[in-house]
Amino acid sequence: MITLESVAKSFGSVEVLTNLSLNLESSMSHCIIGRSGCGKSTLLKMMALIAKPDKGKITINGTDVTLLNEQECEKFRNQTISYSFQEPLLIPYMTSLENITEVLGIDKDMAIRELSRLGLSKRLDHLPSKLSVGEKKRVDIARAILKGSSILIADEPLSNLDPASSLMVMELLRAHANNGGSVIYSAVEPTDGKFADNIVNL
Amino acid sequence: MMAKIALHKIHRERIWSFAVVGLLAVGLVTWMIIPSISASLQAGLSSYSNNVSTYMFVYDTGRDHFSYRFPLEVSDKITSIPGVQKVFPIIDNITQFIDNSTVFTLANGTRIGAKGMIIGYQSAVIGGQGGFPQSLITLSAGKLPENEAGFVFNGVASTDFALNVTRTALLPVSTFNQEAKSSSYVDPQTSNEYIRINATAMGQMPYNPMLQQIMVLWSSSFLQQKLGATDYNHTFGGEGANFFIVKAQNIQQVEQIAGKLQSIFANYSGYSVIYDQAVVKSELSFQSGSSLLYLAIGVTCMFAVISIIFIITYVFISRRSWETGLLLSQGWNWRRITNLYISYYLTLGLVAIAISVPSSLLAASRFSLSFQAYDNTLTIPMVINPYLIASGTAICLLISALAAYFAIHRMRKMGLDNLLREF
Repeated sequence: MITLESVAKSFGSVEVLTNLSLNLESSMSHCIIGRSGCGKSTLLKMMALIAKPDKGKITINGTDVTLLNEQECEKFRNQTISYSFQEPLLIPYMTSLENITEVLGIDKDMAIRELSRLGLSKRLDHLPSKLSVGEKKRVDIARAILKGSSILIADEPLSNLDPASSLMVMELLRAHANNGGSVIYSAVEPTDGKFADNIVNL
Repeated sequence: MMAKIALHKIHRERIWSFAVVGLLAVGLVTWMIIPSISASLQAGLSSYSNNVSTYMFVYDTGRDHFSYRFPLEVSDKITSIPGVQKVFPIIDNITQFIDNSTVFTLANGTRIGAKGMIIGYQSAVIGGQGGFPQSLITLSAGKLPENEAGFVFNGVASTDFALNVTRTALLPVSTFNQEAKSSSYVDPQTSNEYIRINATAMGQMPYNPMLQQIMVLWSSSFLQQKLGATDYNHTFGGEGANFFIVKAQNIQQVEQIAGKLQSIFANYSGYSVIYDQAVVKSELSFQSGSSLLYLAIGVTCMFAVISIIFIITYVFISRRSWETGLLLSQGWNWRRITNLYISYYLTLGLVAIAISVPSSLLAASRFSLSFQAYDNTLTIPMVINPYLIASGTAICLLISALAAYFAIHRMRKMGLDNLLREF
């Protein structure tokens, strides 16, 4: 379970999140919906231990992550959280397949299976520069799923995807929740919340 | 795994990798070549000074004592002077040549030719006891005469002797006593105290100001045959010597040895110790003055190369810090990231070393430094000191690793969120 208590975050004079508190249950999918610039990505990054809140407390599976030092954060993030970026981040000198196998250090067959499920079987050996934004997004999501952490956080996973690809991605995210993991994803369109067990309006 | 990822990075980001390798290789070549040039130049000049400017000559500058011979003990006395490396006792005599084409230019500019001019040159035979040491003969043209009617000359062909042109030489024989007749002129062309022979200039030594006192060197077997045993021993053979070439161990000892020689020969009128005092002083001053310059060049080069390698590595790691952020977000820790970058830069460093070391050695073998000295080209081979190769390798690998470490340390301070913002 993820609990946020009175969390605040600002960038300079711009307050992005103010006094935010919420509970996100485990083994469920949660969709955080809000307009652009409302702080969805910042919220997800704080839950993924990428950013730290200015104020408040974040508890993940009983651990107050705001108290962790750098090394403890690394260890906790590695064991507990998978993260997919809003702008798909892929290592430019690695192929789609290597962006998963070499970054995560996992078996090639597993990666090929997952990429195939996302319709990328013909893009395994392509470098990111040869992929469309939607394809890069799917590689990024496949990597987050294959990391195998209990909490999967995806920042706007359905943006830049066609309806068929969106469906494929959401099926995989739901499967993760069905297998006992937690999925937290963000979206701009309220309709994207239909895949989630719980919707949080930001 | 790290090496595999590093190789992917090198292979698939070829332009960047080549740029880094190129810059590292240029830095390394600079490191190996510039101090080598300095060291070779310094060693070359030092060697030149020690090999050329360390010769002193003791002879009768009045040219009246050709028949005089110092006993062997004098050579021993000279040898015992501290700092003397070698003594060459030589029997010096005169050879006169009839010159049919001497041209004079008068004060008013008129040029007039003179036929039958007789010009004398100090002479010796090549090698053997009392002969001019063969080790000091370096031919720039022609060959050494071997029992032939020929000689080697020390000078410039256009002004002294043309190679392979036969001339008439007048050699003194035993009845001739120049010392006794120094006040009255003896015509060598008509006097029976000279023997006339036709001889050819067969070899030429490059003009060497240190060895200019003896200009003509004969084949000893030829002269023995021409003059006969008695006359030969009286003129160019036999025991003792009337001319000494003294070699000091190094240029620093020349003046001190010259002083000792002067006191040994103080009682022999006409005998002087000759060496190029001005050259010795200027070379000593140049050596002491330039050693600081060479040290400065070496130190500057070292700092420049270290800076180049450090800046390249640092900038190239920092230019894409989001990559580090991505790896961290996917579960990597800083130790793995450090290992990745160090593997990458060590691999590039090794490639740069593999390119720069053979390139530097090739450049060194192809190019040598040369400069003109007294009509001679002094060639100084460029040698790359193994210390520079070893230190260049160490600098490249250590500084790359150190710069990678500093760049990672800076990124670590930035925090993950800021690293990812760089995307």
